[in-house]
Amino acid sequence: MKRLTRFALASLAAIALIATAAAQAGGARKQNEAARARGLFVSKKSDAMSILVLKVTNGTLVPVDPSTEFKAGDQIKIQFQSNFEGYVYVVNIAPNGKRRLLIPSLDATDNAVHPDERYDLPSGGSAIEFDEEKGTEVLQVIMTRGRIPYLDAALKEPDQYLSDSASSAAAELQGGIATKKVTSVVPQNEGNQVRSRDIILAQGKNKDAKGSVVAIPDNGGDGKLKAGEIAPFEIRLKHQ
Amino acid sequence: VIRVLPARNSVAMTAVLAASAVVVCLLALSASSAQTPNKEAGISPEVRSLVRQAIASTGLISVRNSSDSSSQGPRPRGSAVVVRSDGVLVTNYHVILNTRTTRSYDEIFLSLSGEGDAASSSARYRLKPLLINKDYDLALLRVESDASGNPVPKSFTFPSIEIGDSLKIKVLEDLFIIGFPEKGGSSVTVNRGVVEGKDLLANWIKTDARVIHGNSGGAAVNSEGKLVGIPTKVLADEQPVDKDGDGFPDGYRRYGAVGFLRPSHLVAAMLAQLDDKDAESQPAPSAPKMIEPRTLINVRGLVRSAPGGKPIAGALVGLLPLGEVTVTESTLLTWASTNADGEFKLNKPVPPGRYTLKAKAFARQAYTLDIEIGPGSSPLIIEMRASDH
Repeated sequence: MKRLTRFALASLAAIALIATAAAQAGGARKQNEAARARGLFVSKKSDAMSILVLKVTNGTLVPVDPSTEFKAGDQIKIQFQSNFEGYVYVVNIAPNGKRRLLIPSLDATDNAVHPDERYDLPSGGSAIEFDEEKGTEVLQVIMTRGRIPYLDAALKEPDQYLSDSASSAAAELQGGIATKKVTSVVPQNEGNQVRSRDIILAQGKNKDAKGSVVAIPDNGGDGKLKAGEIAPFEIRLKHQ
Repeated sequence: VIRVLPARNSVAMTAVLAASAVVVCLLALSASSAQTPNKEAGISPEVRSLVRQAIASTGLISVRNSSDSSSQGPRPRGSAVVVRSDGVLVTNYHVILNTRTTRSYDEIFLSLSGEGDAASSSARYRLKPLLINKDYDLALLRVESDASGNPVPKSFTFPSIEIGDSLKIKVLEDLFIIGFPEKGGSSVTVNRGVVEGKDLLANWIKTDARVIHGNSGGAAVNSEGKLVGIPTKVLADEQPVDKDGDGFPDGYRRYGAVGFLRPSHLVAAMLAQLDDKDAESQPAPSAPKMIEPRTLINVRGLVRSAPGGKPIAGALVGLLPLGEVTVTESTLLTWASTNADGEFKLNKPVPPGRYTLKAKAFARQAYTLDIEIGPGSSPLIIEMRASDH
């Protein structure tokens, strides 16, 4: 009986050691991937974008962790910087699933982005405000080399809602769009609400610690978006 | 929900842009409603002949209550069309419904006139309701006797119309509306239009052909002279106008109207039910059989990745008639997009049955599956795979 207990304890210790080693390896891999994403953004070897969530605090914009739980009345802005010449579309997915095009908008129809330039969502002195309806708000950001006709068409829809009418929903379900196939090297991380989907992701540097970078892996030197391809990713904002 | 708060100096521009958008929409609406199909285009002699045959099957429905004074004759209520040569005909339920008693009128008559005056026609028959579908506003009736109550010989053959396949009808196909509208008195009136659209879920065909009071229950035939719809209702697009400029609407301007037909496949389904009932060889009940309104089902579900099972936000899910390949405004029955947790609820409930489900999401392969939806169905689980390229 004693021998059996000793064996069980030894087995548990071995399993614990293996688990710790795996966690350390996972952490190191994550660090490497974050460094790689940032490197790709700076070197412009891949198409990439940095994102910063800014909260209006005492009249000034303060960078915040995207996993912050926002309250009704909180106001934020999202700041983007692209390292490539292309277009960016931003779609808000409300807690009830309704989708609304935020970029481009009737106020700012030009959604072209240029390397090393910063863009604000919304532009100018405007801000995004959380109202009383709670849930998770998703900002779906789509990087592309060319325009996406069905998203452009949403500008003509009432309040820029996507697939609100049968004709626009049918056009979206019937139409096809090629998506950049890249391997997701960073798994979903509960602590980081900027979620990667077919892109790699990194936390920002120390000076803007709450910012993040998304980049297309340059596997085989193919980190650039081609015509007709898109790279989507999501920013999830909790609204309590 | 989040909303974008405009900066103070951009509010005025937003208002100007919004106002412009409304004006453009109204202008577009006005222009489209002003359009009419080219009704000058000739009708071939063959089509003319087939439509005339359909006229012979269409009659005037008149009604009276048993409590009416003997001097009061039957009052015109609408139209009907004979769909079986043994004297079975179809009309709208609202044509034979006495709204005061919420039951059918006590006495219902059909006058067949060909191209003559139905009021003075000697071919007048007393009718009996057989099968009523309140949900579709349709009723099947049978000729019970002539107007005086004398039985009609069993060998008598009524001029009946052939039922066409309304499921195959296409937008812009020619339509001829045959009936006895109020404005035309008791003589048959025929006018022409096209199929403007259809809604397979709610079982409607839309037409620009003129449909007014009295057309209800009559015939909408195609260029082969086959019955494809029953004129049932009309919706007018009326907008308030402020004629004296005091800021308050004091009238309405009419921009156009759309006629709605019940497709003939619904009539065919009711006739099949009638045949089943006849096959049971039971004595006909004194009251018509009522078909209860259909149960509609709200469809919910979850979209997640495969493999992995992570919820997919922003995926678009839609239902089409079973086997439908092309997604268009008229084939898309109901749809919704998923929230942050991958959950969705389709925007219109659907009757139980089989459907083709389609889903689309960024970076995912398009998804298609034939499914069955019933009253006890569990939420749909849709697993979408990553794109291949």
